[in-house]
Amino acid sequence: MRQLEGTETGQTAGRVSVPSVTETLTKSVAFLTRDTFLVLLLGLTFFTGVFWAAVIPLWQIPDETGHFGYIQDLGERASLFPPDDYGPADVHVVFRQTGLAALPFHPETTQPFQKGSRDGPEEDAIKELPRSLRVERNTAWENGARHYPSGYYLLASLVYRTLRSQDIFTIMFGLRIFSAFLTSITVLFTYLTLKRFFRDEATAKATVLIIALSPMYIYMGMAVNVDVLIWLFLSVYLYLLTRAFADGLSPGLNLLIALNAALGLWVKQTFLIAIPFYFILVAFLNFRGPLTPARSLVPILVFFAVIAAFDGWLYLGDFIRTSPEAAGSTETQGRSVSGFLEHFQDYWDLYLRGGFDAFWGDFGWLDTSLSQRMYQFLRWGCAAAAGGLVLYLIRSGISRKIDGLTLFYLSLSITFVFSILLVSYLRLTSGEVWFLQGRYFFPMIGPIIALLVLGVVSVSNARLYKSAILTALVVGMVWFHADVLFRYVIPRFYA
Amino acid sequence: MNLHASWIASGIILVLLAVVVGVILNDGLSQPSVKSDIVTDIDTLNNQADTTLGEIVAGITVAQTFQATEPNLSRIQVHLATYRRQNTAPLLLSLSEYPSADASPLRSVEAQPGAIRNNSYHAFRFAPILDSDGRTFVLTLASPGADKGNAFTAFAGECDCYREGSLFLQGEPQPQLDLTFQVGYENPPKAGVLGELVNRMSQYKPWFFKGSALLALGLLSLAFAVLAVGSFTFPLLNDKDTCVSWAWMPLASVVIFAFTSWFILR
Repeated sequence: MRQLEGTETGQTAGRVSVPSVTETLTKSVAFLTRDTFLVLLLGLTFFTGVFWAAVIPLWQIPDETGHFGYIQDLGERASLFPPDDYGPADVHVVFRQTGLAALPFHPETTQPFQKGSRDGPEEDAIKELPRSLRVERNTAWENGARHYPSGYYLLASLVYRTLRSQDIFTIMFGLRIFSAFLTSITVLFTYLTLKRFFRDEATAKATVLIIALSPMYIYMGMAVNVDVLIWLFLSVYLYLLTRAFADGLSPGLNLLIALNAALGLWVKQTFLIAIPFYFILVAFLNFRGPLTPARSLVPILVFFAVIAAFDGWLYLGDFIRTSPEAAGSTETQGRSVSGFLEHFQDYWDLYLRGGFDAFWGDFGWLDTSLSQRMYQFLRWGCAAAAGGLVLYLIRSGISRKIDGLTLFYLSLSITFVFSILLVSYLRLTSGEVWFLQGRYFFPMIGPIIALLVLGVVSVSNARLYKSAILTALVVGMVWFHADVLFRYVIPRFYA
Repeated sequence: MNLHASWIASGIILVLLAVVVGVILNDGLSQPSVKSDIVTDIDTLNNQADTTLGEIVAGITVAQTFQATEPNLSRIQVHLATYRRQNTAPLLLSLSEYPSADASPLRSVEAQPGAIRNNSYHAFRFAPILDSDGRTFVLTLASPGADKGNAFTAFAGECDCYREGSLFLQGEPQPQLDLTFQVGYENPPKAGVLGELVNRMSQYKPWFFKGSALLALGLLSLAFAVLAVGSFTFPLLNDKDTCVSWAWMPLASVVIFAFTSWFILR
């Protein structure tokens, strides 16, 4: 790497130096020695993701067929969006020929196996399928993923093109490995953000390990799904917001935040949440003093100018769906604030099962749930942690030592959760039966788990308590992960 | 806490962790239903499900003949439906040789109403029939305690989907209908339970996720988990901010885990 010496070292600027390989290696080793945990965290997230990718059969993750169909479209043709609304015939044929199409929503069903063999009964026949099927679209199967922008799919189609000469299994599982890689980077940024949030290595490490060991997070994190890139962009976005919160909103940082938001909007409509997040940041910075309302104007204009330049035509044109209402709905039930509040009465059980329980674990096409005892334990555990957080905030408020960053994270989390609930309400009142899933909260898993951990550790200031509780949480997550994998997931698909 | 004490404490936690993961793995695989499922070959005799056969109430029988192709017939799975309601009468499956003058069935299994899911295969498990290979059987579904509005139904294909057998409703043959069903044979695999599990997990996977690559990935994932937890717990238990070599402890626990797993599962 060529670099200009002197700009940061105080030496005379302008002399070009090329570090030797030995020097670079020494620096890399020094970095690894300094933060071994970071490397181990990356290894843990990546290899656990790849292991889960190997365990879960083809297309047994919600909507994986649709996302793969979109990638295949872009991988087979040079286009920015799928040519029409239908999924490729290849997916249709392979899903049925393997017997795997019978599995979704039928937890008692497994694929047909061939005893004593490492190849499925139809594996050779599938590998010999004509390549023309990959571009044929004579199925009646509508691809639900077609409403999303093509950011993730374009990136994934590069992996597809690299593996294009291989059979469908190699391509599909290669894409899962790519997702596991993206999730590893997400976890890395989550860790860097948590270090700034907690200002305490041990709590940050424990929190990120809880996230990296969450079986549902890892399960969705290796899926061929647009969400993995949304998680990545949002984790970087949260890191940048946290930096701006702590260090101030410099023009460079503001531009980075705007670019990140613009790129995120090219991945999925969920990233519209970046706009209220940005306003929350500006409001906090105004409230704390470093940014006056008059000085906020230019950064805000830059933020929106960048977004308009990158995403304006995409969102204002007729390329993607921007309405939160159910597809094809013509009539909507009456909507009101009281109606929004009242709908929780009718749907409380679904919010609990489809939202909270599925956040911690509901595998397959949400047909492989954990035991009720496990869910009860998790519900009570999270309720206790949330209670601890409320107590912490009350105590901090009374002693006037309230932490601004905690309030900032709380505001972001509440905004995100509220937005999801609002979209859920809009969709329910536009005729959709139920759509919300726990995984939709994963983009904000960092702040959510951080606040819960804060609630638990803030109960006592004793060092022993903190060490014991953090160790128990991390060890408990390893146990939970192993239990879910060996008692629920593997038996569901292979026994 | 001094350095040695924190080493020991971290080591104990990590070894316990590795052992716990090993025990969970062993426990998960040794559950009778899981073990039996892994060693059972499922043969789908008719997968076509075009219509239902009406409510199976008291006095109604649904019978299907089939030919066993392997020894140790131990399971019959029938595609059932509940009419999306909570029925309370159990469903009986009896299995007899066909044709047979003997009135008493070879096996009878009762499915509890709470265990039957709508629009799903329900497994009727029974003690293996050792010499089932080549014999013809008839399975009969009945529900003596059921009445209209409180009964299950079974799916059938509207074709002669299974040519080696026939469907009978109330004893009357239905040439253009066959029950949607599967049969299972409990034949212990040569590779053992874990070996057969690895075989199953390898099917419809690319070469880099087959066989020993799967096991290696599992161990690698566990090793990173233990190392990351070790890297987290050691400074937590150690007051001094000293950089020490702790890596041997989690590595040792991985070795212990691998050895324990091999010992338990061999």
